[in-house]
Amino acid sequence: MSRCLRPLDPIDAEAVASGAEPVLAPDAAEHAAVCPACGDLVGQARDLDRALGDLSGALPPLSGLAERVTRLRGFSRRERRTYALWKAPVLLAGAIGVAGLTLLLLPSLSAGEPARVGATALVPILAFARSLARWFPDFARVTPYGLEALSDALRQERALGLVSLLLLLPAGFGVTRVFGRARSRR
Amino acid sequence: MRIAAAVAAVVLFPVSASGSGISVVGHDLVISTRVSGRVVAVASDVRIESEVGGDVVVWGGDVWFGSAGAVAGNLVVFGGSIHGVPGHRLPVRGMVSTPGTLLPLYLAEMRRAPWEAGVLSPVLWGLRLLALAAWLAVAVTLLYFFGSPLARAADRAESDWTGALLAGALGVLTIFLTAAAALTLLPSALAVPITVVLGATAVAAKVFGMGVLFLLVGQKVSASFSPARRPAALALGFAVLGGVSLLPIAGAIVWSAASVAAVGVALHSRFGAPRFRVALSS
Repeated sequence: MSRCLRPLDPIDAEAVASGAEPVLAPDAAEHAAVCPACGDLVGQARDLDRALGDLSGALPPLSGLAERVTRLRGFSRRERRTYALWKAPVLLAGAIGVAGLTLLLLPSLSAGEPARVGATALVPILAFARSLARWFPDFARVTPYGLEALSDALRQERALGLVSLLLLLPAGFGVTRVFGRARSRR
Repeated sequence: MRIAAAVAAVVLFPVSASGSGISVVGHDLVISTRVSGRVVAVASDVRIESEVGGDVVVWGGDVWFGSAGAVAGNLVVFGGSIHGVPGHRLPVRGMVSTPGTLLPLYLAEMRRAPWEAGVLSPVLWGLRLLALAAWLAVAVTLLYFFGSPLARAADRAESDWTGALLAGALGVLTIFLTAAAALTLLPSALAVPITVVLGATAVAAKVFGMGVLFLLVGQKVSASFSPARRPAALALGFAVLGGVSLLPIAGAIVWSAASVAAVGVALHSRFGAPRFRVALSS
């Protein structure tokens, strides 16, 4: 268990050890300088760097490897929990949602009396929430039955099916080629 | 569907049927005498002037009730609206369902000529913004749980744009053709599950692919690819694409093209699956 109340993320420890800018905590270097536990962590990262450097000897590092790893890696547990990283999309989604709801309310707000504006405003929100809640189960319940009816009606138009089947041949061939090319690039 | 109906020659067919059900494709239908079975109409409007003993299912058309019209079963309308007799309750004994209620609004908007005065109502703007907020919320959730697959798919799309776009166009075409062939040529017991699976795959590919596109556009605009900046890049990419989608005419075109590209990005990258898997043995 760490002796520090605010232990550094290993990524920041590695960044400080290699002289790079920390990813998560901007004050990681200052914190490691005054905190013995985090200083030890940075020291370990520095030792690891040195050991890895000794292993590779005089061989030059692969060009662009670090950038590729950085670009493709997943989030660390700390990154997932850091709200500061996520606040931009969360706040934007909230702001757009509030703007949308406000526009939904506008007609009822202009029609309602000032004294009842609050109650009047609730009506479209409740109606919207209720219709949204009903839409999904309704859609899931009705779609298979609707597709069955659609299938019954379309079966009279066998020419449509045969044309679709004929067109599927070149389309399927194209799809196979595209995916084959993608596999070969991998 | 309505566009397909417009392309087909729409002829008004007065139908006098009794006994079994009725199915029509691309023809408007008037029910003037009692029908005991089910009525199915595809890309057709239906006017009900008499009693229907079974269900009425309409794909891509409106339903109008006359004064003597009634439905003893369920009334299901996909991508259309229902018009009852003013001042009366809908004469439907079973369930009334319109799962594609927003589709007519969308189609009306698509059919509107660019030079027509087109001031959208605040309600429609509100619905659009709510839909955009939902898109961003879903994309952020995907990024949170599948950060690495999204990053891999964005990387692969950037390295082979032509392949991703081709995969999108051909993938969407193949899905539509397969669904049409299955629904037309196979028995319902097989056609319905196949179509449901195809539809679910297309929706999953579009949702995943749109998240990838938001991320990639944001990363390119901000010129930053580090994981710590991914959420901000996603928001930025969404702001660019979502903002463009609100423009008249160009917005619909760009969003539709982005949807096809999104399906391609998802399928081409196999939903961001890694290129190599490392087998660990004990």
